[in-house]
Amino acid sequence: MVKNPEQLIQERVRRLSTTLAHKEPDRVPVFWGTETWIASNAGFTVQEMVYDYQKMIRACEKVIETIDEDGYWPPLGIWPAPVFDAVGHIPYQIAGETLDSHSAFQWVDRSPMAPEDYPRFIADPMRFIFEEMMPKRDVELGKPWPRNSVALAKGALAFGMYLTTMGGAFAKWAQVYGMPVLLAGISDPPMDFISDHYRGFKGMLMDIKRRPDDVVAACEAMYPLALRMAMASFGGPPAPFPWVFLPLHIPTYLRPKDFERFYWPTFSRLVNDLATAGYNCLLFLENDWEPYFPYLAQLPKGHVIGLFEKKVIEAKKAIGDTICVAGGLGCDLLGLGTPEECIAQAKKVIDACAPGGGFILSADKALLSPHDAKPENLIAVTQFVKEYGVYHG
Amino acid sequence: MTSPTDFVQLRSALADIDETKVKEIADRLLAGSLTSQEIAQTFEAIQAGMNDVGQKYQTGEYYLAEMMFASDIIGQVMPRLTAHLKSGDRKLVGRVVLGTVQGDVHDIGKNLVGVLLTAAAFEVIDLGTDVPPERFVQAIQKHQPAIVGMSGLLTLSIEAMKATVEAIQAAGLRHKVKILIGGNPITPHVHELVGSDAWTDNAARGVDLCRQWMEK
Repeated sequence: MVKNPEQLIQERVRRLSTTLAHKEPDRVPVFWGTETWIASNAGFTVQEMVYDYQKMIRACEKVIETIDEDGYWPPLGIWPAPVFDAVGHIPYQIAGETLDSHSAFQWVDRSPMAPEDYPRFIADPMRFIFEEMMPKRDVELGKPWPRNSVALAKGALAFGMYLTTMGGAFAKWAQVYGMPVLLAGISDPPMDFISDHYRGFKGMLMDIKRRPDDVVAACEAMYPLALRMAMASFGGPPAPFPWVFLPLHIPTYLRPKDFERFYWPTFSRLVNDLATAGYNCLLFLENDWEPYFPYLAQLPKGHVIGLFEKKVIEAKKAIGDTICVAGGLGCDLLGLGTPEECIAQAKKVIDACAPGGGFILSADKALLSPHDAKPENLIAVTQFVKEYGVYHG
Repeated sequence: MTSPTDFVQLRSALADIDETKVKEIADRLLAGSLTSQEIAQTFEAIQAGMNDVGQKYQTGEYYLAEMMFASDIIGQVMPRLTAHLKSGDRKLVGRVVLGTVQGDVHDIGKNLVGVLLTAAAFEVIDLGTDVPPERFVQAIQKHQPAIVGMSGLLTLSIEAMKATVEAIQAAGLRHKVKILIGGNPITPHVHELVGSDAWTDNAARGVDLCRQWMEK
């Protein structure tokens, strides 16, 4: 029997929600974090997609139509270039401008905020960000009136057009394909926010050594903004699905005791406060998280999906009772291996991680570059999970 | 006037990443004029101290934050020390051409490796980021390094590394250099595809590999 889109979307969301609740659904869910990779897969460049959203949508739909996952990972890393152009945004390097037209966006480590600026940040982060940081990071906003106001208006308009276009596409995917979009809402835990946008990665690593108390105070000052950003970008009332996306960047470069002092207090509060308010979070866990498993195990059970780059099997074993673990397929295998090799790896991970639920098969990284995955590998593994990942409970 | 304990203390202050103490000792050492032997001993102390940091990183006692902090500290001390050098004072173990490959503009990992190699008495020719294959080839022809280090953060860099190795091969230079690739996306699978001589996802281990090559 062919299911209609409404049945399909209910079935998919139920499958994902059941596994997040640490129960066994009908089968193991599978999704892929298809980001700028979708361009080459559809015969476009990334440059074309970031200016022409219809091409971006077509590229997304090619993935939805051919791979048939359990949820669609929205193109969070394919940012609308007109918005960046309007405000003169500096930190992001955009495909086709300073980068190859097939490149994912890249981030150049900069420190627009100086170490001496901490007291002003801590006193009033909102004022500091708007008045001191934005003109440095978005150069058009630093120009004299009326150019700054025109740039802001153009940026806001361009962003509004982007959101409207993508919102329409998300609704269509639900109606036509029965395909839920996995993520809505995004925020950065405070220490990452300050590091990513203002102090830079290297700057922040030096700050924890040279001015540790300032870092702690700045994270505290940033906290309300990070929470508000998650809720505002989610849009609408709180809901357990889609999930709020929290990309975590700096933790694995910190000693666990530094993680505990600087990162954990405001990060765990963010996850807890979102869970209490009725949201669930997907944590994007790059690099090796094993030293921090004891911390992740303290997050609220049934509210957190961890997408692990490394040690997925170890994660499921150690903290799989608390965190829903996602991951398992490496991009080196997906991009360079054969379908048989990929399936062998999928089998190994499913055998180890599927029992009891709380597991989703996915890739170890967001798929960014043309060679991050062969489409036939994604199709073969997705199909394999549907057959092999069935629970017989 | 230096005393032998200065060098021991410098090494251990660096190993402990005690910035105040490193600077204090460096100030004391660099205040006077140094003999060639004293300069050599200072370099050796820094090299040994950074090696200790690298070891602690590899055993998991230190994380990247500590590696970056230590490299930032010696990044401040080394130029002052180098200013005391007369030509021939420092015996270098080898020359490395280093760069982030074409298409990738990330430089944190490459810069860290550069500082560590410099501390380990390598001469480092840093080509910067987004370096096309032909610039690697030209740099090999010009500088005749023993080792070429290619860095990349994105998976996109894998193809560029492969193309760079091919360009080095086509220029007839492949047998003249050892090629080390490094960065987050680098795995044994990638190493095999690229055709490099060694790979690493760990800066300290990368420096160890370079050192081992020079000892052979």
